[in-house]
This record gives sequence, C-alpha cells and structure tokens, in this order.
Amino acid sequence: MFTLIRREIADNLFYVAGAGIVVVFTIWLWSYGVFWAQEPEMTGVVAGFVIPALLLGYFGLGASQMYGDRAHKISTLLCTLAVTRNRIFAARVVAGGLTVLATILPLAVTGLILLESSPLFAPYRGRIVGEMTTTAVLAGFACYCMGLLSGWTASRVWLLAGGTVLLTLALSIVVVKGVGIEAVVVLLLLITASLVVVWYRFVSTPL
Amino acid sequence: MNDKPIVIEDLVKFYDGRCVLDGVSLQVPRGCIYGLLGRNGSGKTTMIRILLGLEPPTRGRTLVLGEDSSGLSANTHGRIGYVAEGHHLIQSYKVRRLVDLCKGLSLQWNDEFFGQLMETFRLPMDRKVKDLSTGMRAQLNLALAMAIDPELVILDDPTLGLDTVARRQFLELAIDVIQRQGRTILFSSHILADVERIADRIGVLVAGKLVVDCSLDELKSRVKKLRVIFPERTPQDLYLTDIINSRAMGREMVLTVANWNPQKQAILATFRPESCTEMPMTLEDIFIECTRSAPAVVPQESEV
Amino acid sequence: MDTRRRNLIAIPAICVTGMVLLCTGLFWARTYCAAQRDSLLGRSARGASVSPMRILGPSRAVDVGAASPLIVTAEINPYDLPQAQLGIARYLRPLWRRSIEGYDRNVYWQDVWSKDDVLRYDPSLGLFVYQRIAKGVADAEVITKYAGPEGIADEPDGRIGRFVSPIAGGIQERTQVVYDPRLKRFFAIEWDAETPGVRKGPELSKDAVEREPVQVGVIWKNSNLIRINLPSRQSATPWRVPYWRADHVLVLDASGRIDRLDLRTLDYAGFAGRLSSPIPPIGDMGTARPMDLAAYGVCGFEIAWDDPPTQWGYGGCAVASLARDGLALRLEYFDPNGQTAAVGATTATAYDDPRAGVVRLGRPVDSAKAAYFLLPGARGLTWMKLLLENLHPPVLVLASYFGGPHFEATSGYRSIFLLPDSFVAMVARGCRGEEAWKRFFWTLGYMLPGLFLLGLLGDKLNREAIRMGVPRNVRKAWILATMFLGLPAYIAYRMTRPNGSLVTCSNCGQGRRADQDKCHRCCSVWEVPELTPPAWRVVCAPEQDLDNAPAPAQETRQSA
Repeated sequence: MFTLIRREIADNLFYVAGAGIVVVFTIWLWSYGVFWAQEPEMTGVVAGFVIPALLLGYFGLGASQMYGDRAHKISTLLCTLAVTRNRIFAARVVAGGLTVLATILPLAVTGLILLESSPLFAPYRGRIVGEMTTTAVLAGFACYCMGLLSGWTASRVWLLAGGTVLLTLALSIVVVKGVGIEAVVVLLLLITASLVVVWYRFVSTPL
Repeated sequence: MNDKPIVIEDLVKFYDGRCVLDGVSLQVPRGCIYGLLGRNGSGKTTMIRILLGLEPPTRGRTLVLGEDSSGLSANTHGRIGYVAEGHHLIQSYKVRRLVDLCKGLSLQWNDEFFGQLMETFRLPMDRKVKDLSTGMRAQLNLALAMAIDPELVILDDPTLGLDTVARRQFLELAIDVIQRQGRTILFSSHILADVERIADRIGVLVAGKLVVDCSLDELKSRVKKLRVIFPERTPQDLYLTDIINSRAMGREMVLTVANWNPQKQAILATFRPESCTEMPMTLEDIFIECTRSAPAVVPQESEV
Repeated sequence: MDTRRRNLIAIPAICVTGMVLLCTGLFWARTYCAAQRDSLLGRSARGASVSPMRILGPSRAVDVGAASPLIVTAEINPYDLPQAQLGIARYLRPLWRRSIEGYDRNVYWQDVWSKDDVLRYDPSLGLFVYQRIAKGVADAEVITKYAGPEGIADEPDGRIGRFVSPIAGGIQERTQVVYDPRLKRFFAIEWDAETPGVRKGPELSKDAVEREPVQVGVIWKNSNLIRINLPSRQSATPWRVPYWRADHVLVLDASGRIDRLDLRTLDYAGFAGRLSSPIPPIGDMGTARPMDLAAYGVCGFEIAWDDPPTQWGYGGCAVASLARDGLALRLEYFDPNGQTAAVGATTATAYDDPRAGVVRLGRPVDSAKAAYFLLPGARGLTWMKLLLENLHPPVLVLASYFGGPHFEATSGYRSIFLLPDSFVAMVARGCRGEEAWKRFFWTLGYMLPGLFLLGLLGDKLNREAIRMGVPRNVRKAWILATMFLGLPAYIAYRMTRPNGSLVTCSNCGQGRRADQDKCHRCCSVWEVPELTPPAWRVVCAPEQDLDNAPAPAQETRQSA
C-alpha cells in the first residue's frame, strides 16, 4: 500500500509540489502582512488568489491520476502485480487526501498563530480556524473528487468540459452555503457519494 | 496447491454484439506449458484478459489458481507472472523505477534471478522505458514477470514485434527459464515454431470455439493429411466425419482429417483407393489447415 | 465483490452525486433568473413612501407640512439581493471588516471605532460579558464585567444567576434590555449607571408561544437589504427619531406584533403595530412573521403634542417589510394607538401590451406581480423559473411544498435542495385560507411540466428496461425511483443497467442479452451462435493424453 501511495505522489509531483510552493508563499505573505506591513487586507487578497489556485490544483491532481492511469494503462500493469483494483483506488485517494491535508493544515496553523496577535479575534480563533479549515479541507477534497470523476475518461474534451462544470458546481457549494456546518454536511455527502461513484467506475471498467 | 491452475468453464464473451468466445471450456494442468493458438481476433488475448480479471466475461466463469478471476485477491495476483501483448509497462518511468515499483508490489522477489536476467538481456537501468526498443521492452517485461517466482506464467504473444534474432534469443531464454523453474505456463503466439518447441499442450481457437485442446503429440497423431488417389474420379462423398479440409483434382484428393483412427481408415478403404499416402505435417501445417476453413465471423447484432 | 452487490452500493451514490450536482446547477440557474427579474424593476419600483401627517391633527398637519413634511420613504437596496445572502459573503464579510459580530450571534455590540469594546453573551457561563480593551499601553489591558439575572459582577459569580438563551438589544442610554424565554421576563442591565445593576420586570404569560419576543430595542433584520429614509428634522418640527432615546423600547414577537415596553417597569405599555405583509406574486401572504420576511426595519417616532415642541411622547412607528423574494416592499406607519395611519407599497408601471413597445397609459401594479407577469421579459423569466423548478427531483419539490413555509426567508437564498421560494412553496404559503386539497391541486398544476418530464423519463426507462430484459420487479422499482428522484435516478439506471449490445435471438428474432442463458423474450436457450465453427474437434482431457493413442495412418496401396 505504501508503495502505491508513494507512486501516486511521485507520479503527480507537479501538483503536490506546486501546492506546497503556493502554501509556503501564502504563509510568507500572511506573516509579512500581519507582522511587518500591517495590512490585514493582504490576507483577503492572498486568500482570493491562493485558495482558487489550490483548489484548481487539487482538481488537477485527481484528474491527472485518473486520466494518466487510463491513458498510460498504469492500472493494467499494476493489476498484474500483487495488487487489487480496490487497493490501487484506496492508495490514490489516500495520496490525494494527504496532499489536501498537507497543504491546508500549515495554512490553518499559520492562521491560528496570526489570529492570536489580534485580541479581538483571539477568543474566536479556534472556532474561526476550525470552521475554515474543515470547510477548506472538504472543499479541497471535493475538488479532488471531481477531478477523479472527470478524469476517468479517454476523451480530453470530456475531461476539460465536464471537469470544468463539475469543479464549478462543487466549489459553488461553498459559495452558496458558506463556511460551517451546512457546507460541511453537503460536502461530506458529495465527497462520499462521488468517491463511491468513482470507485464503481474504476472497478467496473475493463482495463 | 491447485492441480489445475487454469480452469475455464463455458466462457462466452461478446464485444459490441459480436461473439468472440463461444462456450470455451479448458483446463490447464499444473506444470503444463499450454500453447494457445488462433488467428488474429480469434479471442486469445480476450481469454487471457478475462483470466486475469482485466475484462469481465459475458457468461461462464474462469478460475485461476483456484480463485474466480472476477475477484482475484492480491495474493493470487502476486503468484501470476504476466507478459502482456504490447508490453504494458509505464512508459514514462525509468527502468530502475519500474523495477523498484514492481519489486515493492510483489509478494516475493528473486533478486539474484532478476539480476541474472538483466545481465543476460543487458538492459540499461537508467533509461526510460519508452526509449527502449520493442525487444528490450519484451525482455524487461519477461524479467519482471519471472522475478516474482510465479506459480503461473501467462505470456500473451510475447514475441510480437521482435525481429528474428531477438525473438530467438527471447525464446531461448524463456524456455530455459521456464523449464528450469517447472512452472505452469499459458502462452499465445502466432509463431508456431516457437509454440512447437516449447508447448506440451495445444489449444486452437477457431470461430470462438476451442477446436483443438490436446497434447502436441496427440494433435500430430490425430490430424492427418492424406493424398488419396482413386482409380477413377474422386467420390462425391467419402462418408467420413471430422474432415478438416479436402481438395480434389481429377483422381487425386488431398484430405485433412481430424481424429484419424482405424474405423475411418476402414471407411476410406471401401472406396478402394489406388493409393493413400500420409503427408507429414508440422504444427504450422496443422494450424493452417485448421484455421483456413474457418468461415468469417458473421455477426448478427442489434446495437443498443 | 459481484456486480449486483457493487451496483447496490453504487446506485444510491450515483443518485446522491447526481442530486447534489443537479440541484447546485439548478440553484445557479434560478439565481440568474432571480437576478434578471430583480433588474426588471426600475428604481421607481423599488421605493415606497408614506406621509402620516394626519396624526398631527388637521391644523398642525397643514402648518408643519408646508415647512417640513413628515414623509418616510423606504427602498429596496438594489445591490444586495440575493448575492449578499450567499453563505461565503455572509461569513467573510465580518473578517473583511474586522468585526466579530458576524461570527458570534451572541455578540450584541461592538464599538465600531475602536473595534475592541465588545458586549457579548457567553452561553457557557449564562452571563453577559462586557469587555473593554484599554489601549495605549504596551500590553492591552482587558476590563471585563459579567451580568446575570441577579446582578453585575467583576467575576463570573454564581450569585448573579444564569440566563438561558436570552434575547438582547444593544446598549441604549447605558441600559441593555434583555428578555429570557425561560425566565419569562424582561431585564434591564445598567452597565454604566452610577450603581451598576440588573432590574427585573414582571413575569409574562407562559401560554402564548407565538407571542414570544424575538427582538428588543433595535428592530431590524438584514439592514443592508432595505433603506429607510427618515424626514429631515428642523428645530421647530414636532417629531424626532429614534424613539429609543425615550423611556420606552419596541419589542417584536414571533407573530410579527410590535409592542412598546416601558423601561421603568419593564412591562408592556401598549400595542405599537405589526410587521406589514408585502404582496407576493401569487396568493396572499397574510400575516407577516419575522421569519417570513427577507428584511424589515422599524423606526419609532417621538412627537411633541405642544407648540413649540417641549412635551415629547410616543408618536407611532414606521414599519418597512421586504418580501422574501426581494421584489415587494411595504411601508406602513402606525399611530400611537397602533392603528394604521398611512400605507405605501412598491408598484411598477405596467402596460397592457408589453410586446408592442408602444407607450400607452400605464397602470400601477404591485411590484412583485409586475416583475413576475407584466413587465417586458417577465413572463419568459417566470416560465424559465417554473421549468427550472420542475427539473428538480420531485421528492424535493414536494418537500418544498410541505417544508417551504417553515423556512426563514433569506435562508431560501442559500437553499440548494429545498425550494422555499418556488411556486409550490408560494402556493403552500400564500393560500392559507384554502382547503388543503385545493392547495394541493394548485401545487400539482405548478408541477405539470415536471410530471410531464417524469412521464417521458419513466416511459423511456420502461421501454429501455424491457428491451434489456430487466426483471419486472426491478423495472418497477426503477420507475418508482425515477418518479421520486427524477433525473438522478434515471442517470443511475443508465450507469448501472446491464450493458453491452443485444444479439439477435435465433428463435424470436428480437434482441437478446448475451449475458443470460435464456432469451429474456422467448426463453429459448442459445441454439446457434453467430459464428459457425467447424464440426470437428480434437479434444483430449489432460489425463487421457497418452491413453487414447490413435491408429497411425497406414500407407495402403491397392490394386483395382
């Protein structure tokens, strides 16, 4: 399993490393904004650019995993080794989940530290960061799932067109529901259901 | 240990309304080297893919190492070495990375044996798979399949695309490896000389059916090609069953008969032929005779 | 895992995924429709005004009115509907503005200048907490006070008691009015008085749930959605606002009734009015409850009954209510006795033939009705809304009929699955007087396009399933699922149905499934495969290999 997870991450290093760089850049900008520049607006500006980039990256990761597999017949090879399709799929999802967590959690910790410097937000920082982190992780994972869903195809047109639609719809759940329990419930529902759908398509398709 | 590593029961496979396999049943005993033959599109690769669980059967079932192919466990997968037609290797990987991946995902890995094979094949570890020649890819695929010490080896046209020298080298090594290890092997090939060299049993797929399933010696003894010269014209009907092919020219008839036996010999004798000469046949000759008469596939389908 | 079990897991998942994505897509389409409809209303159709001069008396009304008329206007804020109600905007706005009020519904007041003085309710303590952060020193010093039903303390002391889910207004004249639904009485917390303390009012009646106060003091909801313009006051004008500077505050209860509360006795001092009911496009809204309105605002007036003005007293209140779809606003002025003194509502000018483009004499029509049916382009948008609603899974449409009326108005802007602002919900809400079967009949009328679509889908599914040999019971279950869930169920069927092409049956000539032993139409077994293999076989079981050695072909030569 570990080998499979490592393979998934190594094969899609572009997305994983890209997300990492974006996160480091964001942390630097936040810290600079709060501690030196005293421009709290920077937080919002950065969030406005960085979060969409990250979410797009998660979608790209999922799409790349599935589309790359289909195009290069990776699972066809893996399935002839001591591996089942379920394990390949599980490793893929774990790799995606780890990427999402590994990029969002540093941002959450940074947010927690930065909010501590504001006496106004200090009593609520746990709740604010908790809600935002949970929603961001789930939104990121939902984007990743949409990538998985649209990536399992041999057609680039479907990958791009379908992917764009699915990504937009998944993201708009957060836009509509906001941050908090409602968004979390809907996203959890979408993630669980779409993962089952992807799994079903993955194990049912001849390799 | 399973006595029959491969069991196929009444296997039917349709592709888009076209029947590819029509009720194929087959058993491969342990330790057997089974050569699966057939013309292009006869369903050899499909059968192998169904066996490995890469493709679902339309009807029937297949067992590999005692497990149903549709739900092969990782443990069973790990006991099967597979060389796919066209060699499905991850093209973007370097050889070393691919080897590491396969090693990491195998139940057991014979490093020494693999090293020997790599040395013999002289495969570069630091080149990308896509930069390897077809022959090198075939060799790499075989080495990877054999390094896991498999109980069952499935080779799907492993020499496809290789030149004569590479094919010969590949086969010699494969034979050596296979015979030394004493494994059960199912392999398909269009190169009948290769099959003839190494196969214990032969299966021939014609029109979706397995028309031949016996040992090579049995096949050679049962299928006869006869040149029969009659005193006058050739008779309209010889009243013989299992005639694979017949060609008449004046008083001479060339006849290929399956399951040749004393009864058929006696029936033929009733026509009082002037002479009846058995023509020697190689496996290739038998295969050509068996498959030449096969009618083209006439699908009757209605698209969904 | 076999195919059947895999399908059983996949079918609900496909339905849920399809439903979430479909409903989200439809949400945006409906939002687009709503925004377009919103833009149909011109500025003039967004405002309403009232002039309750007559409450001053006939003689004074003429005198004062000539110099400075008492005119109250209210208008729908055109830029804040419905985008401002989207969840992400509601959540991020406080962070953007560095205000914590949006994050904590228990925060009742925050000093808008220093942004650091906060009055909030701490649910874990059951106490109100007043926090002042003194600046100008290296480390900010935080001064905190706690208030319970029994008094004020510097520490959360058990002796000051506990509130249980209280409702509070902001600080008015150093006094904060609090109502506790469990304790059934009003409290006045005097934070900055010379002797800080808490006063209790008399216990209220416990039986009327609908009379439960929901807002005290400042009675506003979604203040960004409507704007109330009060008359400019000159020194001689006999009115002034706001009323809360006086010794009374207004209290709004769950039924929409507004009462005056005497700050000295903390008891009701009389009926002040009620929330107005804007006219919806369909039916009649009836009595407006706070939850039924997208926004409302209440402004109490003080009026001096003498001249020049010295004796000030309660002069009535102006109540502006915005309908849940944001298309209709009603402004009502209630006199000091709670009687309606003046009423205004938003109207649009509609022409008899909007397509002709000929300007005829227009007639004023209720703005919501005009935006739905009469303004140019309105009917198209209404049809589009109706069709979009009918693409929704029927089970959710029905749930909207039953659950829609119980939705808070602005939460409808964020509702993806239920449709509280749909036509069926409007019928359920707007025809309260009608009998249940009549309402349901009307609802079915609005569901007709959807029912037609369901019929088509069900028929297509049925024919397809018969063709594919799906068993009768399974077929029925699929049709039933499609009738309830609509398109997602049909997609689930298409994804999990027996796939592959049909093969012509040699017996009945119809398409038969290749994966079944018998033809699902004529039950014949496979007789003649499509291929015609040779009749001969050379087959020998592995164990018989060497047992059946055939006779060698002998070379014979016979003479004639």
